[in-house]
Amino acid sequence: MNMQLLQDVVLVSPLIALFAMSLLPVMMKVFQGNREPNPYVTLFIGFIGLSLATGLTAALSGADKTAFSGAIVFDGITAWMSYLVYLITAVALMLSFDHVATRGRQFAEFVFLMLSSVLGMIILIMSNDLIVTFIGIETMSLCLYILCAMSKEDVLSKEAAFKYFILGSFASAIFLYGIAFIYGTVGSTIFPDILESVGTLISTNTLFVVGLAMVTLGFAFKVSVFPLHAWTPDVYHGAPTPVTAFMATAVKASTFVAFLRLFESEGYGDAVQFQNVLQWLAVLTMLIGNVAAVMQDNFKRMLAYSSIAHSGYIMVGLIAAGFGNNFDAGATSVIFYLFSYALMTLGTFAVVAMFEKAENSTVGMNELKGMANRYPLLSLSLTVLLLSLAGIPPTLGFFGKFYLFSAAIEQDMYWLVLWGVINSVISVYYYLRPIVMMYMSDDVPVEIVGTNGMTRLTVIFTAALIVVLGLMSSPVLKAVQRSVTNLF
Amino acid sequence: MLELADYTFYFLAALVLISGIAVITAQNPIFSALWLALTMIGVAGIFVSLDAWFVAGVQLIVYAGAVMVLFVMVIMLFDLRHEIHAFSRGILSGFLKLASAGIVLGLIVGTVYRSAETVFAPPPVETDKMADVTKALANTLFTKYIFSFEVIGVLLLVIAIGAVTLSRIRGGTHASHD
Repeated sequence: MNMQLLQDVVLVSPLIALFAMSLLPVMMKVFQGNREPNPYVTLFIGFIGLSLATGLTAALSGADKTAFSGAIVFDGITAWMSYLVYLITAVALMLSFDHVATRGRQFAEFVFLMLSSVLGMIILIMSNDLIVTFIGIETMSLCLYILCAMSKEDVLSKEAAFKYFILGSFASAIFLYGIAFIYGTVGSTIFPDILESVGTLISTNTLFVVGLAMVTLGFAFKVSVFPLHAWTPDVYHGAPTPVTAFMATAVKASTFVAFLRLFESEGYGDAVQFQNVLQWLAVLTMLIGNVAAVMQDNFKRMLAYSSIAHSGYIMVGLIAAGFGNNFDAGATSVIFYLFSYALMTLGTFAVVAMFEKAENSTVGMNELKGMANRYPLLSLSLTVLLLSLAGIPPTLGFFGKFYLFSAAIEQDMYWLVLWGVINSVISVYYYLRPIVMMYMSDDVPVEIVGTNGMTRLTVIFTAALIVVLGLMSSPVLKAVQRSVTNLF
Repeated sequence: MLELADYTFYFLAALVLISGIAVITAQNPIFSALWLALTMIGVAGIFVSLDAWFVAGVQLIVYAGAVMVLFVMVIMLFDLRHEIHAFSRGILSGFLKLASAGIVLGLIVGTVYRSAETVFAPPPVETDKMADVTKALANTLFTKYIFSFEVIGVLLLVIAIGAVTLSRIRGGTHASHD
């Protein structure tokens, strides 16, 4: 028994390391009589925490087993997605260090909240139990609500935090209610038990279907899928840009993994109605995101709508994984897409962060005019990032979409893929607009002021990574595939 | 055929639902908090009807405390002179206040009076059902659900630090107070 417990604790050691390191800056602040520690030190401690967690995850990868009575699982998906979340967090910390709204007197608390949010995300990724999933979502979200509000006295930021908090609590309540129904019908909250009985219950038991629908809605809120997407533009717009970058990427990555784990069953094969509903949600999510993004003049809002659209694309892969006969192929494409989406979104938000001079300034499209004359390297990077978001070869974004759609085509979901392609075409319009503004205007460009060394580095780094990984996408895909199918 | 237990459940469920709706529709924040207390009592009643005595007790103790905190917050954060005035006027409400004070007093006196016998009596030997349920709950909580339990500890820490962080934000319109 004790040995078992020890093994379980070893398996969650990345979480423990992360938690311990996240406490350090706050403790330093307390012991120094409430004086803010040197932000460089805080940032450094944050990086140590992340690298420790990454190292421990790497050391444990391949364990492929469950712990704590099956409540958490450590498999290939866990390892890969953990790396992604740690990478996103490292980049988001760098952006926050540079950004006017987040550096300052509460950077220690900021780092604590961000790392705690990561803790919630990793729990969500590891989760093999609906209760643990719920707790992971709550830990992640509560930190985010506060992070959103931490732009010092920006009205938009407060509004965003409040909206997110109230709507998020509502979504959590729905999610919890769904768990109650599922527990009531299945008699267990552990994923393997639920997935085993999906096949029989989904066509016979209405209560189970209601529970499943509610849990789906809870996930849909977190990843901003159609009926519950309305909070996204306001919250993404109002939150400090580094936090927005973090939310748009890490939250989506971790929540989609938990969502994906709920679909790892053959039992969904006959649930045609459920599949239809999800397909329509995916199509409407793509359409609403893309059409609304076309109409935006504010760069950050446009990216918010574009992130809704990308949730729609990922839903295509999710449906292919859940309702087809090849879960692993679908899951691989989703994870690959999450990687590419996270990289390009981080880079683009980093550009937005650079343009924000004051706390409540917003970046209009017009401010990008003539940028190429003054900042050629930055403009080139932004161009690569936007082309990748639009899915134009040979960037990583193209291959992400390609694998996603081919996973769906393998399952004969032509209709869904058709909508995906139509939407990609719509999206090209608004992704090209900033590029046209940057290169085809002779206006005197806006000057970028303030410290932004690390932000600049992030933009160039992500753009370079997108091109490099795009060119060697097939080995990367194979690596992901191997870890998903557990062939170590 | 409905049995007594069913009637109890439907009564309690209706109570919880109605008072839950009243929490969000009440205009006066004080009433809102009171309705919330009633909701909690109803939920505790449902737990009792399920023989989950320990959970019911925890529900009452913890949420009674939470409602008290809510009261303090409400009184602190809002300017409630008008509402408090409206709340504490009239013969009926005066009678209710007297009556509830009397009930509480009676309960306390009764408990003290009755407990004298039990305190000095020898302790009962058999462990009753209640203790069994509590033990089973503790066993599940600290073995099967230990991970969730520990993570909730982290969650509470996040809430504590987050609340302090939010209240200490300075800058913008707050800057003038520095």
